[in-house]
Amino acid sequence: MMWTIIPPEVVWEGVEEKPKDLMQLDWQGVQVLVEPLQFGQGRIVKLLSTDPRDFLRPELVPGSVVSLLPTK
Amino acid sequence: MDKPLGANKDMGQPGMDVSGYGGLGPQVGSEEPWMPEIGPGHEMPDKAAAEGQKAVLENIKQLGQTALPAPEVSRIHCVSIVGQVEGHILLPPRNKTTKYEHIIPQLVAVEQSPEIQGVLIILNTVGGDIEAGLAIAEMIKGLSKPSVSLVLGGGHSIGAPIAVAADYSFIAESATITVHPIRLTGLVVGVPQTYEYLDKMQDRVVRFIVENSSIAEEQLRELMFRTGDLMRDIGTVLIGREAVRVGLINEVGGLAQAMAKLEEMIDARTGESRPNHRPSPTVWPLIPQQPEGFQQAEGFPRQGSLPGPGGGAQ
Repeated sequence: MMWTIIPPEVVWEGVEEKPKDLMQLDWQGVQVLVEPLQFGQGRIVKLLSTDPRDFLRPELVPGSVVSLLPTK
Repeated sequence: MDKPLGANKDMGQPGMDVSGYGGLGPQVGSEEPWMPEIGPGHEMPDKAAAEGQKAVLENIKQLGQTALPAPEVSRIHCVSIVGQVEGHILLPPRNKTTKYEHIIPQLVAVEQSPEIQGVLIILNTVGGDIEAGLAIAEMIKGLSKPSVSLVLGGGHSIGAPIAVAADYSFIAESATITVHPIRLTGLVVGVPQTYEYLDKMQDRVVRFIVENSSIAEEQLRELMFRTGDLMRDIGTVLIGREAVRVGLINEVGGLAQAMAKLEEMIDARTGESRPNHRPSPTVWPLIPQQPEGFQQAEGFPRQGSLPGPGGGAQ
């Protein structure tokens, strides 16, 4: 239930569009939900970690772009 | 004392290691070993230097980058709540949102962290999901560590309970808080119970604000249902000191006042005084410079030639 000064028709504009395909994967030991981008990169959508310290890591903030290529 | 090398998993986790190097490089206690500039008594032993060099090279190879040297862990954590507070429904991409599922564990980490002593909450929000907003507000209220909120721009709708949830609240002179009733949009079941539900929802918010600020319930409801103040709606826009006058916010102020208040509260709680606590004044090299200087570490040219007293190895 929304309580906002933005009119609902503005907030919900585009809600019918197809949601993005997301991938759940292990990124450096942390389970993350990412939106795949080009060139082996992904944008973090959500952390699925249970370690609260992971949520203080700046590189894991939702919206940040991470490399999905294997690190070896 | 050394941590196993290649412990990249720990990289960048604040609170994991005191050295601030995120599990990379030699972990010589809490010292900053590879920065000779930091002052006397911070020598890097040869062995640690060589191992640290190896770790950085390994990191460059694996990640294409090195860890930024974190100067000093700040004892204040800053949470910014901007745009819409996103709750149970993922909002369309045109909205700027603050995701409550990220803020909540962050506040858990703040409560748990030995380094973080206080939280500064910066608000510039247009409102959002009521339950997500109340969840954030309750989390802030439930923190044992001091919290200070600062409303900049706007702290509208559900932003108001979040602002008052902190131990002390500030509002910028130009910032506004819109207090207006909640409403249901979209398809609703037209039964009397729907109204009851809406009323209960409203009561939850009103009760939270009243309990956590000095505004009286009657006054809050009066502001909420006032007509003629908003162009197309009922409610009130409280600008800066008006929000303070009605008792919603504690004080008009900016960043400096909010930080000073938070520092004061932390000092009162911990019993120590660190006025004007700031990260180390050392000028830290930019990222590309660091591995270079580091590669010279073997037979470190400046070793033992540090200026000042006590420059030698301890």
